[in-house]
Amino acid sequence: MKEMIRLSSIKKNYGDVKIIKDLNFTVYEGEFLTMLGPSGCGKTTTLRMIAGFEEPTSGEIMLNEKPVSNLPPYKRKINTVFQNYALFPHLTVAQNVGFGLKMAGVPKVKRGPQVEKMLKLVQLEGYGNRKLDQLSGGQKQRIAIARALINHPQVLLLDEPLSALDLKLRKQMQLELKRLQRKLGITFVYVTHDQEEALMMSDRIAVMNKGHLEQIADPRTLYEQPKTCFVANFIGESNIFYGKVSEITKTDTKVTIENGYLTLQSDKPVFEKQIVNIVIRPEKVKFSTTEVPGFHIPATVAEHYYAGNVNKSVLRLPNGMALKMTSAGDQKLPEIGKSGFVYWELADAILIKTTSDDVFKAVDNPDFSMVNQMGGD
Amino acid sequence: MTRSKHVDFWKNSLIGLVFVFLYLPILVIIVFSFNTSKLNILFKGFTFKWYALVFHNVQIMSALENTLIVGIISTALATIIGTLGAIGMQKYNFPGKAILDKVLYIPIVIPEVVLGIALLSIYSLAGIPLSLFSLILAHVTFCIPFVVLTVRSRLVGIDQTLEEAALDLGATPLKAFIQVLLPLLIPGIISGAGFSFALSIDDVIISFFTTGPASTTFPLQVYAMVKTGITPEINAISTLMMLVIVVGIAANAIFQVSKLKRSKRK
Repeated sequence: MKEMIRLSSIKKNYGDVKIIKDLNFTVYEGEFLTMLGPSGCGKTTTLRMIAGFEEPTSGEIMLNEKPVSNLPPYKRKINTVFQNYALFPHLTVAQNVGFGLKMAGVPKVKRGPQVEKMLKLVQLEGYGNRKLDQLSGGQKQRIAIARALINHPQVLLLDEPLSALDLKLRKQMQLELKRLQRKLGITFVYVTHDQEEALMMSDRIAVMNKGHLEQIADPRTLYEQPKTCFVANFIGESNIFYGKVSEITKTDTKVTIENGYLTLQSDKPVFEKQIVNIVIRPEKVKFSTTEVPGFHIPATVAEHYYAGNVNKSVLRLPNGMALKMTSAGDQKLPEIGKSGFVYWELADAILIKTTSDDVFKAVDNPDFSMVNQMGGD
Repeated sequence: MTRSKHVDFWKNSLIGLVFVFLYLPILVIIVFSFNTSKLNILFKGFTFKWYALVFHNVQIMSALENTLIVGIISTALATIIGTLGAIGMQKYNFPGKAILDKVLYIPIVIPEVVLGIALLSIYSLAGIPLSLFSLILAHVTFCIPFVVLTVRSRLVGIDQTLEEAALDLGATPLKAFIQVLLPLLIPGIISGAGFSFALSIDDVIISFFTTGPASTTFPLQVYAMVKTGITPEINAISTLMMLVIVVGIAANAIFQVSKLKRSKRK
C-alpha cells in the first residue's frame, strides 16, 4: 500500500501547554482513517496541522512522501470539510462549490459543468442558483463536501462534519459519506468523538488521548484486542479488573484481584507478580444460578435495564464491584437479588499489560462508580 | 368612545407639537430663502435671485469645493487606514495592542477644541503650513476611529474559519482577503465611510484650527458670513443642502424597499 500521509514525531505546544506529544502514524492511499478521542485529545489540532492551518512545533508531516510542514494550506493538495461548514455566505451554492476552481484559474465557462457534476455527486442537482439561507443543515453539509472535492484533492479532511445534524440525518450521512469515499477512492481523514460513527465508517481508527496515540488499528481489532484500558473503555463498554499475576501453571494463569482471583488462558505472555488489567466485554459475561464447571465467580443480580434489542444488567461481585452484562433482549432474566455465578469463556478475557502510570482501577472510573451508586448497598 | 376620542385628540396634538418644534425653524429658512427682502422679518415677495447669487458667489463656491475635496480625500484615506487597522487588530497579537485598543477611541470622546489645538501645535512644531493638506490630515485623524469602530463590529460577526476555508481551497492570503473577507466587510466599511464623510463635511471646530486662509471650508464660510447677520443667501444655501440630503435619504429608502420586495418575491 502506498503511503499518503505520514506523521513523524509530531509535537505541538501552545506556550507551555503540550497539545500533541510525539505523534507517529501513517495513512495509506484510499484509506478511510478516523481520529477518535474525547474533546481536548488533540485530534482537531492534528487535523489542522495536516491541513496547514497550524505548524507543528517539531516533527515532519509527509504528503505523498514529500515534506509539507512548511507549505501553506493553499499549496497542499488537501481539502477540508469544516465542522460548521464554513460556506461563504455572500456567494451562491454554485459560487461556493466553484470557489476552488476559480482560485485555480479555471475560466468561468469551464467551471459550470464541473460544478454541476459535483452537485450531482452530492445529490443536489439544480441547486446552483440558490442562496445559502435557503438550504437545510444537511444540504449545507453536502455543499461543503462538494466544494472540498471539486479540486480532486489527494486527501479529504473532515472535522466532525456531522456533529451539527440530528441523529437520523447523521446516520444517513454516515452511510452516504462512506459510499462517496468508496466511489471516489480518495483518502479520508475523519475526526470524531463518536465511537459508533468511527466503528461504522472507518478502515482504521487512531484512538487519541491527551495528545498521544493510544492505538491505531481496524475497528474489529480495536474492539476485540484493545491495547490500553483507555481504548477498552472508550470503544464499546467494558468491565475492567485490576490485579496481580499470582500463579502460572501449565493449564492456566491465576490473577489475584481484590477479594478473589480470575483465571486466564495459560498462553498469555505474563510473568509472576506482574500488574495487569483484564477486560471483559459485557456481552461475553454469562450468569447462571447453578454452579458451572470451570472458571466462575459468585455474584448477585443487582439491576436490569431494558434497551429494546438488548438487556443490560448489573451484577454485584463479593468485593462490591459492579459487573456489566448484556444479553439478548428476548432472553429471560434472573430475578433481582438472586445469587449465582458469573463466568465467561477464558478466550474472551482480554489481557492489558499495565505500566505503573496507566493502572486502571474500577474506583477511578466514573462509569463504574455510577453503577455502584445505582446498586446502592 | 368619547374617552378614546379625548385621548386621541391629546395624542395627536402632542405629536403635532413635536413636529412643529422640529421642523418650524427649517421651514422658516426655506420660506425666507425665497423672500425678496433682505431682512428675515417680513415676507415681501417671491424670488429665486438669492439662489442665483449663491452660484455666483466665488467665496461660497470655492469653500464648497474645498469641503468636497477634503471630505472625499479624508474619507478615502480614513476608510483604508481604519479598515486595515481593524483587521490587523482583530487578527494579530502584538505588544501594546491592549493599550492601542483604548487609546484609539480617544479622538471620539475628546473635546474637539482640545483636538484642534493639539493638531495646531503639532503642525507648528513640525513646520507644516496650514493648508488643504493640514486640513485633510486633521480630518483623517478624527475619522479613523469611527471607521475602526464600525469595521470591527462587523468583523466580530464574521466566522474566522471562512478565511481558512478560502486558503484551504487554494486562495492565497491576498485572494482570500479580496474574495471572502472584503465582500463580507463591505457594509461595515460603507457605514464607516459614511460616518467619516458626514463628520468631515460639517466639521467646524477642528477645521477652524487646522485650515489656512486660502482653504476655507463651507461650514467655516457660512460661520464667517453669519457673523454679520443671516442673509437670504445663507437661507438659500441651507435650503439647497437640505434638498441634497432629502433626495439622498429618499433614494436610499426607495432602494431598500425595492430590495426587500425583490427578496420577498424569491
